Amino acid sequence: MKSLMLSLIVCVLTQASAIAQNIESDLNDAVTNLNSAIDQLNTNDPQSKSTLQQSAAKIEQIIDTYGVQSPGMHHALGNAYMLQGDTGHAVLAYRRGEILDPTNKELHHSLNFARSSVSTQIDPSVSNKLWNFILIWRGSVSRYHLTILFVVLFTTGWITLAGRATRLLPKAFFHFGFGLILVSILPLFMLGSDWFYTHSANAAIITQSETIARTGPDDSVYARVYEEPLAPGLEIRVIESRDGWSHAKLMDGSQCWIRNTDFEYISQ
Amino acid sequence: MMQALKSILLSLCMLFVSHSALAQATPVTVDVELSRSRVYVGDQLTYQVIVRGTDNPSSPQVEFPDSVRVSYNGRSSHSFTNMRIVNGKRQSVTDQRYSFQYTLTAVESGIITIPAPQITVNGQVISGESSSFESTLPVHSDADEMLVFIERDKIYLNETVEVECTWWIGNQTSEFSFASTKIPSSFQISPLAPPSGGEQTVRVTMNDIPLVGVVMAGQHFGQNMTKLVFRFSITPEETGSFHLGPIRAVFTRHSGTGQNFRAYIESESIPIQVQLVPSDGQPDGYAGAIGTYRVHTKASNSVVNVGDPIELTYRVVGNEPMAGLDDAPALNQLPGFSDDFRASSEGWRESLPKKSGMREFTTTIRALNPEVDEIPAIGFSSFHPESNSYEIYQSSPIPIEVRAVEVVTLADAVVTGGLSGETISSPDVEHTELTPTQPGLWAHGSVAEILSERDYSYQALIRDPIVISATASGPILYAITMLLGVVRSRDKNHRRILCRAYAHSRQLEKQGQTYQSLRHYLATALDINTESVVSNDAFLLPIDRATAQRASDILSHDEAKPYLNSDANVPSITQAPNLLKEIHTQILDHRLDHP
Repeated sequence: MKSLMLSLIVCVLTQASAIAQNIESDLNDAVTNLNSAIDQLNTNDPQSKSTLQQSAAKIEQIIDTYGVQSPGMHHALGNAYMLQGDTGHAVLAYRRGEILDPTNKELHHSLNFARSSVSTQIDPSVSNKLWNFILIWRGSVSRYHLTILFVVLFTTGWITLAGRATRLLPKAFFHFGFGLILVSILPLFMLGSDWFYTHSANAAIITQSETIARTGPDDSVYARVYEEPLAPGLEIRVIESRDGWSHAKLMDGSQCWIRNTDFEYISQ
Repeated sequence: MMQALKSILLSLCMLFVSHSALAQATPVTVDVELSRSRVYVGDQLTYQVIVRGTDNPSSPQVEFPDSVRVSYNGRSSHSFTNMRIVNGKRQSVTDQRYSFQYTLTAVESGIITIPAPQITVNGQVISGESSSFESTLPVHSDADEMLVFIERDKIYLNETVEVECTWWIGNQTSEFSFASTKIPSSFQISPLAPPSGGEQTVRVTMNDIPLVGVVMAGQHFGQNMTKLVFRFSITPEETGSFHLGPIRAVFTRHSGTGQNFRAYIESESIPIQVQLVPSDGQPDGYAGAIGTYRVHTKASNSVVNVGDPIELTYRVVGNEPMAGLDDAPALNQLPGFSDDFRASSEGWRESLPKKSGMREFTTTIRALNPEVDEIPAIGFSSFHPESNSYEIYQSSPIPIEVRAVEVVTLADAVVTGGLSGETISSPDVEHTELTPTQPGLWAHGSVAEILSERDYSYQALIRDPIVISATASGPILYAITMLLGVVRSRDKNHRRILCRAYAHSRQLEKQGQTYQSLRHYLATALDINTESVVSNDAFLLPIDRATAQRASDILSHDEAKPYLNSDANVPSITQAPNLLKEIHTQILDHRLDHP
């Protein structure tokens, strides 16, 4: 029985180690491809586009096959798409990376660049501006630090109240402990708003060019909302889906219907 | 002991020998696998080169024939651990294999043979085996027609021309592929927006380039038919005679009888002559650009002192591939620049990444004298295929104001510095402030950095025992404290009641009601009625047995008094003057020890 258990443990460990090696090997291939493509771009090599496509495909394969992802992986994927000129998929990859680590400055710069390359520019609505204001800390304060701050404030507050209840601390410490608990709500609120914003399943990115926005879910019945097509990289929120179409809300609050094949959800 | 040591050494030797034997038994092998042996033209199949017996092999060399289009999907590695019996011993053997995967698209019919792949391991070339599959054309569809329109069939090297492809679709169709279309490898293909007015957009992939087509209704051969129209541009990168096409669609046709079958339709191939641009009238500095362009220049500042740096941006906008725009014109060879400006020795820097249809370069220039009042126009020459002539596109000159500066001598600097105490700056040293540029693409991290990144997960956080215990510890501590407070307060209350009962009993004692005083105290301590107290109740008190016995005896005497003679020798309350106090003290002490 013992030897069976031992064999099982060894087998699991060997398998895990083999998977880690495979991920490293595949990622190495993908990043090497991407770096080669950048060299090819500098020399105007026509092969650069196909090398970039291979690199992007490889990174997506790693994410799909092994279920692993990291901000760096999405950054490399976004760069591979951006250098191909595929702004839609680039913004999608950067946003997915940003969800994992909003404090990654390089990723943030690349996302800003990709957003500035989106040919359709939309001013955010008041509610979106409010969200941006609420989440203004995301680029500079890490979630780890906020979590630690919350736990320290919350626990210290309760310990202070306990100390006061046992008459070990003077009366003034009751207000101090109560104040700490109240203050601890702030990092909790920040983490909660971040969780709500990043995990809301309806955030999506237009990934296809020539996306026509219509007033309803049908090409032949409903008219176009805008003369111009929606550009790839445009960020939307999906309100509802119906028969291969989705009711989308743009960042300025305006609404339209677009085909399900024209966008991809940020949450995987 | 020695025997055991010998057997261990022997086992180790056997293990080493068997492992060596095993290592020798796994030479480097190269195998190939094809996912299908028969395909239709335009369909895809997977070709794998599997390498075993070596770590981290290089990519195999495979000379793929022109009859297939190849897309490399990358390398994957797999390891399998199994048990083998070597020299009577069971061994765990790990088989590591590397698989190089390619997606092949057959573009011609016939037997297609893939030559043997080769890999190089430690300087030794190891070959696999050749493999082949059959590619056949499905049924030609007479109900469809494929038409291709190109602007001109005589084009210049690096010129971009538009191609429009129209497929008149005969009947219900699905699963179509343009993968077997023949486009010369020296032609660069770029997608173009489809014509407007379509009912539905359709994604089309040709030569691995994604294109967008539209489905429209129209009249063809006097019949109402549906057509798929898509557009793309071609840019030849070699001179000579070529054939564009045939553009071929392989599809599944749904006939009226409910039968489905594969069919194809193809266009005529179009002969195209690619020639060099004429040398007659070619301007100096012509670098190979073809087409219409717009040229802009921009200066970082319009009012400067002599010698101040001016960031000059040169931007050319046109249609891709924008040949001949690998660099901007050399400023020191342009009239107006060589005398009045000094250009940076580093030359032009290209803004990266390149944006489609735009090339942007920046450099630093300095005005050399205060008479300079503009940055001259910069020209760019391009050949215009439609007018068959060269054209020079000019940017607009940028007016600037250049102020003279006093030459500061070393003596001035010493005197000035000594009197005013301000910072002295040498006239020969340029001091520039760093100005952030427009946002750009930032480099991704290395593999090691990517793999070492920590992941923050809200799901993992709320399940983390450290976070849970740390967060819960405060409220739990507070709850325990409050619970203790309640228990202590209850105990305090009981203590107060006992003390009050003791005081009352003392009063009764002083009034001569000594038995009643003991009964009252016991009743309070046991939380029962005074009338219900009997002698045995004394043993229920948390006091020592001797004291309880004394209290019980006294109460027994009180209970028996009506039935005894008056001269009977029985214990009296007077024999235990401090009994009440002792009972009270013991009960209080017990409560203190067992709250």
